Amino acid sequence: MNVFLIAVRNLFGEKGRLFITAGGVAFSVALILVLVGLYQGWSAQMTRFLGSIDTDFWVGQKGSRDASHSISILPLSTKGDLANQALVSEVSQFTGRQAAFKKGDKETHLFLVALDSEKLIKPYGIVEGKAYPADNEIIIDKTAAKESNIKVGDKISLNNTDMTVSGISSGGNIMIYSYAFANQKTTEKVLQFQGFTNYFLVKTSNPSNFQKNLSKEMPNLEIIKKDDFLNNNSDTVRETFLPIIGVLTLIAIMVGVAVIGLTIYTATLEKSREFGVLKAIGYTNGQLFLIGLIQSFISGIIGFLFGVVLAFAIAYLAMQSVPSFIFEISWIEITLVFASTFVMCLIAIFIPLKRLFSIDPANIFKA
Amino acid sequence: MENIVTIKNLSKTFNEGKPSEVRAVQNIELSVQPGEIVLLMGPSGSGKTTLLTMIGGLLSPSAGEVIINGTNISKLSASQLTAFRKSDIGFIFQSFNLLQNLSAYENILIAGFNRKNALKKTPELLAKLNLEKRFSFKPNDLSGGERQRVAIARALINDPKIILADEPTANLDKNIGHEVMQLLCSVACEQGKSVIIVSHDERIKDTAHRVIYIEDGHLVKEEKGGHDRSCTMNHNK
Repeated sequence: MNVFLIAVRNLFGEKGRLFITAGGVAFSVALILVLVGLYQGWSAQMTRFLGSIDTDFWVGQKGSRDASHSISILPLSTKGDLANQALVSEVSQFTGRQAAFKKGDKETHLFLVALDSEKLIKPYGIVEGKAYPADNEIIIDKTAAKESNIKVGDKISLNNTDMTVSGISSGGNIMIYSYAFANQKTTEKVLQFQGFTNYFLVKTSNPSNFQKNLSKEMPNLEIIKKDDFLNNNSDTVRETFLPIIGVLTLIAIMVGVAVIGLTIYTATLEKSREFGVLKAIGYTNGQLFLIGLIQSFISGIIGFLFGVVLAFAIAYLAMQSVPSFIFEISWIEITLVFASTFVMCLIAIFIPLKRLFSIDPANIFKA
Repeated sequence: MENIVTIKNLSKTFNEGKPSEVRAVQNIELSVQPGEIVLLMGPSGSGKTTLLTMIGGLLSPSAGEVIINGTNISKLSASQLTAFRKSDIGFIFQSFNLLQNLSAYENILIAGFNRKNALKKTPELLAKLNLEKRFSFKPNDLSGGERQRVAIARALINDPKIILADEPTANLDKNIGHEVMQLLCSVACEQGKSVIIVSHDERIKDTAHRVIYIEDGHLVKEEKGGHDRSCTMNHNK
């Protein structure tokens, strides 16, 4: 109880130092949360639209694995072959490719997807306008619309095809591009992709037997379960972004440790005499360690709370100024960052530990 | 009567064997009785504070023994010494050494290692030392005399057998210094605590039972102080 009282009084008695410590932790926590939120947001967004497509399998050219990197091109005639397979209940085609349009000097990248006649493919959400475009109409994502300042009814030119924006969708922004939607006829015209498609979407009554049978019957096709296909798309983020997030998070934690550790170290230096008095009147090194630890933890908790507020403020401002910025964070990630703040505080207290333990109580007799 | 403090052939040498070797205390023999006020006097650097520090268990002797209440503290481990200081010694310092961020009340309270007892005793000590109205004041808001009274209350909170005071009146004016000495005097007389004081202040001689002069680490002279010994005698009856 006494150690808690001393720790609290020391901490709040030096408000400037507390502000610096908590501020340092807050910036570290905010940086970690923004990075984690960006990663989570991007990961989720990579598969948000694709995950909304109701299918059991993505069937593509041998060797293909996702929608972004490996290019799968299959003749439309394959659709009939697939439909004739046992256990198949529905086959649809997924046609899509990147394309860009310019407005003024700004080039906006889209991934144009053809809406299928079976209506398995549809925009993740419609925020304005039509859900199904007519010929020479296009639905673009709200981030692309905001970035290019485009409204429903505006015209854009995609691969020399003039199109009217008939709707604005949501959930299709994956930072490098955003999904856009046109009907099959318009998509084929824009992408100059007649007679071919990229993937077939297959629904089946018995997924395990279907995969086995089709592998035998049509060995030149890649048969990918829906979940595996979504994971393959998320891997793009995991493989490229996660190591960077890891390094930056580690740097943020190190900054936090350094800020807490150094401020407690300087406080220990300044309070050496008081710590000497405490030793003289019977406080053990363990109790002095506890005082430092409590100070470190309280600074950490205050810093964490400010850090969370700061992270959401930064994310809000970033999303306002950069529409493609994605930030999604759950309580699980916030709890994990809270735990890492505790680890940060625990490591930080070891910086002044040697100094704290070496304080000689006999020195307090020196005037 | 059994001595509360017995010092046998005590020496302390700093930087032993090096060119900078300093023999701070050499072969000192001393005993202090319960309720006795002993004043250690001598020029700066004579070794009196080193002696006080060794009695307080804050510095280990190079040779000799410090026996407090029958325990040879020279042989105690660091943790045993900490426990010993906690229960048996009260410290009073020249510069008060109060914790700046704590109130007068809290400065006394945190020195109490039995919390229940400290919570009961702290207000009593504040009242006894006329500090009730200053209980919430931080050290910087207290006068020098008030700070020293808080330091005395802190030294008394665990009811130690010995009070060690280093220049307790050095930073105080004449009247306040006298007031502080009266307090220490009553601690010795009424509570039977032994008080060992290091000071240059000649006026303290009137309060002490014995005055011991130290020079170059040696005990050179001992004389009777101005204190009426009947105080000690009354206590021991």
